[in-house]
Amino acid sequence: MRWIPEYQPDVERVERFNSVARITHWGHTVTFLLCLFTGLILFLGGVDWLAAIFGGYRGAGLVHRIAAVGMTLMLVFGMLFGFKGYIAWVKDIFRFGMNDVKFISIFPLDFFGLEMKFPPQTRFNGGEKMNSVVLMTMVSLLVLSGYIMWFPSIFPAGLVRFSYPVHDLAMIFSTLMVCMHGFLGSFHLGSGESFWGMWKGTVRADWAKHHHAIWYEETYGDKAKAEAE
Amino acid sequence: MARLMTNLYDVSKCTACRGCLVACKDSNQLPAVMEPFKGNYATHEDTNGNTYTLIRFIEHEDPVDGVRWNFLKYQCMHCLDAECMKVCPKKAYRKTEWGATIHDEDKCIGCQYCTYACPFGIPKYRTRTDTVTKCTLCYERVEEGLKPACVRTCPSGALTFGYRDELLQQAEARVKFLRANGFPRATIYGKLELGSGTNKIYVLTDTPDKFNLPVDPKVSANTWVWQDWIKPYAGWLIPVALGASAVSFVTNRLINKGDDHAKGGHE
Amino acid sequence: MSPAFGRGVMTNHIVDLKNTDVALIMGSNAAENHPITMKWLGEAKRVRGAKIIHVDPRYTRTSVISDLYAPMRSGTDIAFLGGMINYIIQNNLYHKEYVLAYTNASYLIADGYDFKDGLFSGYDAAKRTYDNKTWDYQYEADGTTVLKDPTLTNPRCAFQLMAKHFSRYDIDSVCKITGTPKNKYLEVLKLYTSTGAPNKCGTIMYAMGITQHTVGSQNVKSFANVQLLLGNMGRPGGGVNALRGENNVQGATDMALLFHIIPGYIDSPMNNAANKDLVSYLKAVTPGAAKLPAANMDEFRAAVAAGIPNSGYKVNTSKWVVSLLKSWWGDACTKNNDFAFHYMPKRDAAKNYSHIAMFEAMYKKEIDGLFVMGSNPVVGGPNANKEQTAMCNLKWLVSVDLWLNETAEFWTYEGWERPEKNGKVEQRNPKNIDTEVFFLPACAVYEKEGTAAQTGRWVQYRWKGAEPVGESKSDLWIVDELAKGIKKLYANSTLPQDEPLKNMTWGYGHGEEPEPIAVGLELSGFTVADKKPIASGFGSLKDDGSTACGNWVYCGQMATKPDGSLLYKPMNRDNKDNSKTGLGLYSNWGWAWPVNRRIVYNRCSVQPDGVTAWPGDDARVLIKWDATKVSDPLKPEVVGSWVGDDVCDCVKTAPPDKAVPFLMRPEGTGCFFAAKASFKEGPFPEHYEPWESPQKNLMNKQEFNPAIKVWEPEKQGKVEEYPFVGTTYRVVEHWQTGALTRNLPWLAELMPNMFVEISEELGRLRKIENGDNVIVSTTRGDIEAVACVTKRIKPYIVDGKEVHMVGALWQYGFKGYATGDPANRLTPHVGDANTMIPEYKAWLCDIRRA
Repeated sequence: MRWIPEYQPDVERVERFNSVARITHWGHTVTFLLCLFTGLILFLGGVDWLAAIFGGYRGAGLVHRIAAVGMTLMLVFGMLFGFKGYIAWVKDIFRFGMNDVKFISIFPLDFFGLEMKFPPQTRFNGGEKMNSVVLMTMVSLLVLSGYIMWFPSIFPAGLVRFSYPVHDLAMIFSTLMVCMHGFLGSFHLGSGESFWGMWKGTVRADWAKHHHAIWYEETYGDKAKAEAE
Repeated sequence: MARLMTNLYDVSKCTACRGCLVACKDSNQLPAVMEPFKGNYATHEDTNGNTYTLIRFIEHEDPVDGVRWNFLKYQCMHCLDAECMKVCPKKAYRKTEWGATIHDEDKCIGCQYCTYACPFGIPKYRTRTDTVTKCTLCYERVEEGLKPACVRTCPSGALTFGYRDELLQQAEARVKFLRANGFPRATIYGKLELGSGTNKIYVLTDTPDKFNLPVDPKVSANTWVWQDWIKPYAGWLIPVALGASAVSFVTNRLINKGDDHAKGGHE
Repeated sequence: MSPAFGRGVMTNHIVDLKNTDVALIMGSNAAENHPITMKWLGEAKRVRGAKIIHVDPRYTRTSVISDLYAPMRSGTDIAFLGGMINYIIQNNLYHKEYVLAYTNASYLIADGYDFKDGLFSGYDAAKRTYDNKTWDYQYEADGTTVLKDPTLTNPRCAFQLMAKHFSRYDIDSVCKITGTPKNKYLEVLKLYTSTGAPNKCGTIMYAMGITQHTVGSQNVKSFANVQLLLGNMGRPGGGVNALRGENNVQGATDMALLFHIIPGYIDSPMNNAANKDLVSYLKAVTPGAAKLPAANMDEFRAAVAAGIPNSGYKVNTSKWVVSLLKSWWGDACTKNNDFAFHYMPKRDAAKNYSHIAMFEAMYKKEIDGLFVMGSNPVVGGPNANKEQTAMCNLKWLVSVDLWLNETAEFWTYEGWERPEKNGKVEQRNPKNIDTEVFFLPACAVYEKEGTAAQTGRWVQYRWKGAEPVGESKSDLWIVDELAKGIKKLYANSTLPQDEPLKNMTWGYGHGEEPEPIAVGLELSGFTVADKKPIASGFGSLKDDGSTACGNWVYCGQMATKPDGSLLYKPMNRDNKDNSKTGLGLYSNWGWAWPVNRRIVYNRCSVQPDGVTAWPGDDARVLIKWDATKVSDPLKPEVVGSWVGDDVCDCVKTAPPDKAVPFLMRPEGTGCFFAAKASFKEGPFPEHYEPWESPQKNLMNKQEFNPAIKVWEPEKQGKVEEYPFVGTTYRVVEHWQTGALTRNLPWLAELMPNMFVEISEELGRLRKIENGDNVIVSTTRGDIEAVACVTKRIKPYIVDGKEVHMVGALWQYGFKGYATGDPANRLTPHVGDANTMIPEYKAWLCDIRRA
């Protein structure tokens, strides 16, 4: 049984993510997971074994804070060196249209294995757009509420008190998304190829044409080529 | 549950000598915190990691009563339904069977959830130990048959220690007396506050707001939503997501879509 | 108080406050400075429904727990109380039977006595003193029996003269002077004078707010008059209760740490003809003895035995003095050498040796050395700038204290830092100060043993709780070593002037540490022949050299147990109340002087007949006359004795008509009219403004007390330049000059900075916000402090004008954790006419933002 599709360097490949986007993505992955697991220690309670991995509760607290700072730095890094990419990302999210609605509405059937016919998608499909919006919001909330909780004495007590449920809720929704995102982006049949897009930066051209038809046409299609000439 | 034992603090007898503050520091071996005098006798603005109890000095003036200077000993109220206990992720808080809320510094990781969950804002973070800390109702002394240090030292008899039910009766008699003797708004505080009451009883000569006490102390809605809904229920979304992914993983492969699709292409 | 009652002490004791019906706290911040009084007043409130009145220039922590608070401008106590006396007399609220039987109200006063324009008869304006010849009673032809008018209607009787004297103190005039709102004043009058009812007792509690004025003694006399009128003296829950500022200040005065007395409140001898030998000295100090023909001790002793008219119990003075001399010089004190009276140091009659006078002398380089023990004049002395400057003129200074306090380090740079170099104080450099300073570390109260006499005269032994820190030593050890060292220096001297030192008895214990109990024995007194303590008290002292007693008021504190060992009564610790009616006497806890009497003048707690309680007041009877009881089994022929829970304050076997209530007074009664030399400024209190006052005297033509000595006339601040009334006080968090408390972090953090309190109105006037730094200045100096702008202080409306007050803590200095400028840099070098207690409480100042 195959977990993720094999990387095939010999077929035609097109670039999907540049290096800044990839570093930022994987940086976030690492720091998010560190924060998640250290944070879960307090959220779940009674998971001393999990705390022990990080050197006890105090160690976990330290790791959580270091990772949190790392996450913030990754954001800053992405903004500094890949600002255009960000803009492009956000712009694409706002190209949310009928196709995306259709995509999201029929996707659950595909998810459990039924073969579905999807309308053509832009660079990010409806699900990815949803994922992007949720994660962007939730991570911002996590970072903000996190710092408020870290330095409570300089914020109003009401805000600090508000930050606790916010931090937890944001954690829950972002983790939910991260789980789905991780699965769909790597292990789900069909969409697994996108893993290589984020790992190596390129995806198979045929896969791109099939899954992100509009994007492929606009970027690598004949029209684009003609324009480039 | 054994009979509750508690402190009764009678504001009308307090002379604000602050002997309790010093006795508390002595008993708990807390260092002095020098804060500059800023115009109020209560040099400490709030309780802190090195000051478990303090006396507030509050001036009021109105045309009927003239100037009133209200004193209030402020410390952990030892709520019978203690919010700090609920929010603590490390279960560092416990209730003694006679009603003191005790905080175990060895378990504390300094997350300060309790500080902000407390309706009275009492547990305070202490940098030097990286823990939160607060009044212990001198449970070690009490369990040795002694009175709490503040009660032991109070020269004017404003503080008494005993069984909560007896002290409540005393407090009620006292309030009746005060109402008849120039304090028509005298009241008990801590009997039913927060639903089940606190394990510190105050006899106030005026309404609680005149002592900067919350008139109707409440656990913040945020804290309540967080503790009673998010923590127990919302968390299940994550295992649901993981479970769904697992199902998808299996079903997809069982149905076994086209090989090409599985390889990543789709032509 | 002594001129009114015979003794200058707290008449009742602290536990007794629980028996009161109304407590008037005036000139005292009892809740802060005597916190334990609140416990017992609280019980009075709770059990008896007692009311507390607080009269004070500012609203303090005491006001908070009082039922009634009335503000009053600092320094106008006599006006306030004069108005009360007037109100009592005008409205017939006085306790008539009491006044008639127990006071000198009915005594006729000599014709020469007069009062006009604020001056009593006999004033010498040039010398600022009175000739008190006319302040006397009218006598029958024998010259000793006083004429009386039991109807109290004779215009020359003390009562009528008092009524006339205070008739000028009507409510409106009083409120105009004191700035008290009229309605509040009336409330106070109504509530407190309700204790004139025979079944009610009111207590007056006062402290430094009353005494630290140029009219301090007369302030207290006003209390005495009020209490005598209302019949509140000598009864549980009554009395004039001086709350002592320190735990052993009562002991200190008992032991004569004052210049004008010797132990036991006897005037100290002077270097004049009247004191040339023991007999002439005794004639001078024994009331009524001046004109005795006795030429030697034997004749004097015979005269005492026969009784001296108008002498009171002080007829026994000779016994106390001789026993004292015997205890000091032992074998060298004999009948043949006038009981060593010539050894006794005599003070210069023309000189004053009070605190202010001493520092004035130092300032004039008349004194070479100073020994400061448990005192801190750089912080606590009036006009501290001058006192600090005066110390620079010393050749040497010894400071004995727990910490290096401001006085021990007066020469440092910090000691001379001032907010402004405005020329008021010469800036000093340590290298230009030649004073050699020795510091002896003393140990704390818990590190040594001994007794302390608290405010209610209870002498209590305290055991050591911890070993002294480092090289610190107890005061007793330090004095003992010093005395032994001095004696050694003079051991081989043959000069006659060194004999007092050579022959002085000294020996308290055998080991390294002197034993407090040995001191206790000497104070308590013993028979010379067998060195056994005199357990029966000062009634057994003799003036023939057969007894020795270091302080007659402490006589009887030591007894012999059946097994022959010593019973030191201050060590008694029986916390059971021996009063059958629950009056809280606790007679077997410690020991109270005199002779373990808990409430003095307790003869007044029953009616004159000695058996009937005051109507409706059975529970508060302390003693009763039992006509059938034989008190001394050795003298079965003497039938009849006073019995009760307390020790009677009258001759035990004297029947009710002979048992005078105020036996220390020559009159045997409480005195409204203070005859003769009682006071420097007159037989009745009269309102004079403080030496520095924002207000002209509205009561008479004298601005300030005409009998005080003015040390620095040029330093008198004028209202145009210094418009605000200044006053000083303490807070509960710090102790006296703060030498103890400002060095303890836990206490220092409670009150970390020097601050002054002003009203919001004054804050607006001078643009000062709460928490601002301000500079307060007087003609003597200036200080910087934090401003506490508070609602608790209000301007007084005095004669239609607003008068503002600046209240300053005086407990700060430049040493310790909590530091600040000493407020006493502002206070004047002027004191009470009688006691020389400095006028810390009322002076003129200005304040502005720093």
